[in-house]
Amino acid sequence: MCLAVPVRIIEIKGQVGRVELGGVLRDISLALTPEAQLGDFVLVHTGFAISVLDEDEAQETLKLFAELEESWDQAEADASDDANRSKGLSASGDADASSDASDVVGETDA
Amino acid sequence: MTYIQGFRNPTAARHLIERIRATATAPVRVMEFCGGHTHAIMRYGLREALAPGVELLSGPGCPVCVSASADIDQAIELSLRPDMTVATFGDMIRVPGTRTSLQGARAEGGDVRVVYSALDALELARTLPERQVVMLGIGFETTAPTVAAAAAQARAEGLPNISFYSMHKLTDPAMRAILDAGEVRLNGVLGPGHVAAITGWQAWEFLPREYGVPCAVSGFEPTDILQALLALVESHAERSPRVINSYGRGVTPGGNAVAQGLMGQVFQVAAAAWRGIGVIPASGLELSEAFADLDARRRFDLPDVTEGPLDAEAALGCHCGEVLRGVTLPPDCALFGTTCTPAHPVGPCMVSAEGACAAHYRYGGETL
Ligand code: SF4
Repeated sequence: MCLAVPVRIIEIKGQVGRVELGGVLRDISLALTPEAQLGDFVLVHTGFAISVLDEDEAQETLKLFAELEESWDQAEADASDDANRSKGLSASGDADASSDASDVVGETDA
Repeated sequence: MTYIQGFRNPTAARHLIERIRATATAPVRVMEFCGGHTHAIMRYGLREALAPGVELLSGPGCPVCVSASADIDQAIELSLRPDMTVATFGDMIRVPGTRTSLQGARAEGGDVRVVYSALDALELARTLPERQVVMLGIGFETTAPTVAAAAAQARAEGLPNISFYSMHKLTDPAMRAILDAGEVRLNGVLGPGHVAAITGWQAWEFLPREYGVPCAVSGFEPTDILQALLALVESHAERSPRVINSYGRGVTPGGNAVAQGLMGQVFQVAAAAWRGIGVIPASGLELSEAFADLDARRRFDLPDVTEGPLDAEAALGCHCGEVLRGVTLPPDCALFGTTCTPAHPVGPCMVSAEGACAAHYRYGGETL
């Protein structure tokens, strides 16, 4: 129900922002995020931007993941680990890769 | 969608799982408050990947699951009145009331329309001037400001034929009610990221301060959730309960002040009837005095639902209430996967994609 999807604002007219959502252009209300600027990523919930995503924070997190990936690669090289320990995750990860665009939007839900 | 992909990094996820396992030497019991988290956790197989070190329990954070039967009954009754249209978010349409659902009401001739946004209800009112449109306000702090914004706009436009039936609920009183009841002991709470986008993560400081329980506010991608769970097991291991903001890109300490301001103008805090939990004082939102003329309950003189039936399905053997309180797991319900399936849901937890029973049914592999 608290589904909210990150999208980039590609046009602003007054309190209305245009975004691409699941391959479709949509107008969303910026009434709750008057600070939103063109090019910002916002979280969209039921047609409203509810939060402007902090780009620096997002990059921080992605950097952390990249570091994890590196240290993991290192660990893999050091000792060939058994892959089946995290089979739950990889199995559904595969299913995810084949999901269609609307599903990608749908399951960012919450 | 490249924005999301980075947060679904499978290698980082595997590494986080290893770290959580190494840290959680004794079982750590965590409640994911939000139904969206339940859905993601089941979908990505995180429950199994982390067992037995981390025991994940679903919480009450599924707004349609906690909507009282009596509220739905009233919405159904409104939709069956002549010259009346009920607008609702799609999640609610199949949730059973006492006798039927809004979908069932539609089959009986009720006028029920699904809207994507509360603003769409305003558009309905504009195009149907001869009808009274009632928008159902469903959802937590995430959704309430959007309905508030629509109400403010309806007021500004002077739309005469729209009103709002608020079933909005607040997250922290429910969390407190669960902890106060003492039915379940928690070592951590996975905080609802999109609620916190509005309220700010500081709104969850009562958990460590008053209950000694750490809380990690989390996004909804698998790596977001794992990062938050790692923070929780670390906080638990260090015996230093605190709130950790693991969703820095979307959540600030104080939240969205504009949204909070609008919510405060349009709504006031009131007692609310939670399906499966009961009536909790000061846990819901009703239209404020300033917006009383847009309150469907007052416009149509509707009775107070806190007196009515909350969970009609309990009599049918449904344990949704226990599931929402983290006391029972869906597969432990005798009806799970037999009498009760997403196609034929007995209780609300089997209806919504984020209902714990529906998520377990779809992804749990625990069907009979
Ligand atoms: S499986 Fe169905 S009947 Fe059982 S608790 Fe869940 S919703 Fe209720």
